[in-house]
Amino acid sequence: MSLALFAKTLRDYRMFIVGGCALLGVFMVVFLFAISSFPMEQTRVWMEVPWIKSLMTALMGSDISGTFNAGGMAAFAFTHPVVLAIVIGVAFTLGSGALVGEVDRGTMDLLASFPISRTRIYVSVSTALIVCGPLMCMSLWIGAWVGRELTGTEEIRLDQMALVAAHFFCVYVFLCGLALGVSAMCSRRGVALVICLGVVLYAFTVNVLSAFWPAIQGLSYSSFFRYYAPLKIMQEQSWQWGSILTLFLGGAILWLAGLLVFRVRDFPST
Amino acid sequence: MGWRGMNVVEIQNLSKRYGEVVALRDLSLSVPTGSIFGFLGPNGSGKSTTLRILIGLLRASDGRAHVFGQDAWTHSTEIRARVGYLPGDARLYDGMTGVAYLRFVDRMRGGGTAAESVRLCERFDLDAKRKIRGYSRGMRQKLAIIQALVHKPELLVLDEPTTGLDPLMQQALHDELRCVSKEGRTVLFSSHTLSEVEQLCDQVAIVRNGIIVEAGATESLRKRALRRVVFTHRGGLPVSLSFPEGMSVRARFDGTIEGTWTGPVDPLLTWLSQMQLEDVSISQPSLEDLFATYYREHAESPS
Repeated sequence: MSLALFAKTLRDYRMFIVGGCALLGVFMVVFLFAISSFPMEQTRVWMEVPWIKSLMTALMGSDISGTFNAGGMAAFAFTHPVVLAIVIGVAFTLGSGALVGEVDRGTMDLLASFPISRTRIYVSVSTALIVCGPLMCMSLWIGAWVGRELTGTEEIRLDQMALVAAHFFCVYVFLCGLALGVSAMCSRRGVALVICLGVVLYAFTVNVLSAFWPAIQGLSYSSFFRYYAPLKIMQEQSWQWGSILTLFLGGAILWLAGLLVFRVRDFPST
Repeated sequence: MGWRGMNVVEIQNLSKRYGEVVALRDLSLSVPTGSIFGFLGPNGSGKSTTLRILIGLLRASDGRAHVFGQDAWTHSTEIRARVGYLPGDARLYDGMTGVAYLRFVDRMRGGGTAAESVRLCERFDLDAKRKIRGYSRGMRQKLAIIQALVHKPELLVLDEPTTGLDPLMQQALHDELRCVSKEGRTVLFSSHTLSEVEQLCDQVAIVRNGIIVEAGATESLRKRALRRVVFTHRGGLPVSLSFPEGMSVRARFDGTIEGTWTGPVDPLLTWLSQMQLEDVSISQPSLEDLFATYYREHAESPS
């Protein structure tokens, strides 16, 4: 690994990373504040509506009926579109910007002329991207802690939130593998981003539709969202090793494919 | 590291294809140690592709490219430690200052370049404290040149280095490159300006459409003494105007003749003095003039 490149990558995106972490923390506080002040009985009625129940089960990975309280609802924050958008935004912006972005801008010409191997370039950028994961997960957890203290909601258990945050990191690892793998193969950043967002959109759509349409349930195994079930983690209070391994393995395969291509590809002039 | 060869760069039958497009065809070239080697050719002729293969940015489709006796692709990391490279259109990190960029280069190259970077910034009159975003084209080019020179590489690979530089800075760069050569280090640079190559280089290769048209000592190019000649005859061109040997007419219009002259200029001046001229200009040939001449010669040659 090249420490100089690692530091440069983090420095280039520092505002983005810090901003993302701050937004996640603030969102968690606001979300917990909202669910603690919302009449739970009314929410329970909504949750009994079949299509809402199916949708929430698809998003949270388990049926909330058994654990319908502020603690159970807090799991929803980890699959909330805002949280997903921030985390996906950081992963894809940094992952694409630091690889295909360099090619697209033409700065890769000079970067690749330094005496470090392409493998080291790839590993340095990957490491910078991965270290943002714990920071974001930590921000969510800190947000949960602050929210719990502010609202005084005892049902929100911080140990459970930490467990969900750790699983969320696995999703982030998969997203990093996707972003880096695709970026390593593309020469235009826009193309790489479209492919990555296409994969996320596919995964989300398949995951949600499979809750309503049994015919495509088989396809849901190809969606990474299937391997991320925050409510189930909270309910069972245990590590979901099968899901963790699947997400890590998926991310690792994409990452490795990117490395293999990056090592031998041409860097065309811009 | 054990390399002690005569040629820093050895290229044999190098080809590069992008799908159906052929960028280089069987290109062979040798760059002697300590020389200033000019790689001359118009835009799109394959100069940059050749240099990018030497740096390891591109992989050759066929043939071999060796630098310091090592394969340019498989040993590219070791080679790059001893090479300074300036891309044709150098893009830098806009958010950094010049100082921060040179510090980054220093760290990427393992340190020890700080003193040289200060010297080069003074040499090229660069205010490195400003953000690169605010740099002019010329200032960016200066910074890119400095990063290529800063670690005192054994081989400098420069792709059209004088682009964007004012004449004063072009001269400063030429002087710097002469110093590099005097120290026994090698300079390989591409250009599409014949006069620049003639002025600076002791070896030259001329490339067009991915093929080497001519390679050898610059002296041999000079001996051809190719000149561009344009003159206007007063009152229109005579009906039976015969041209001396060495004159090659490329265009004639409204009493004006455009062409190239090969050989010593004395016979040309004698011939011109016998005519009633309204205007005359004898200058360095353009690359197109040069290529037209070479192609004609190659076509006429039985081999």
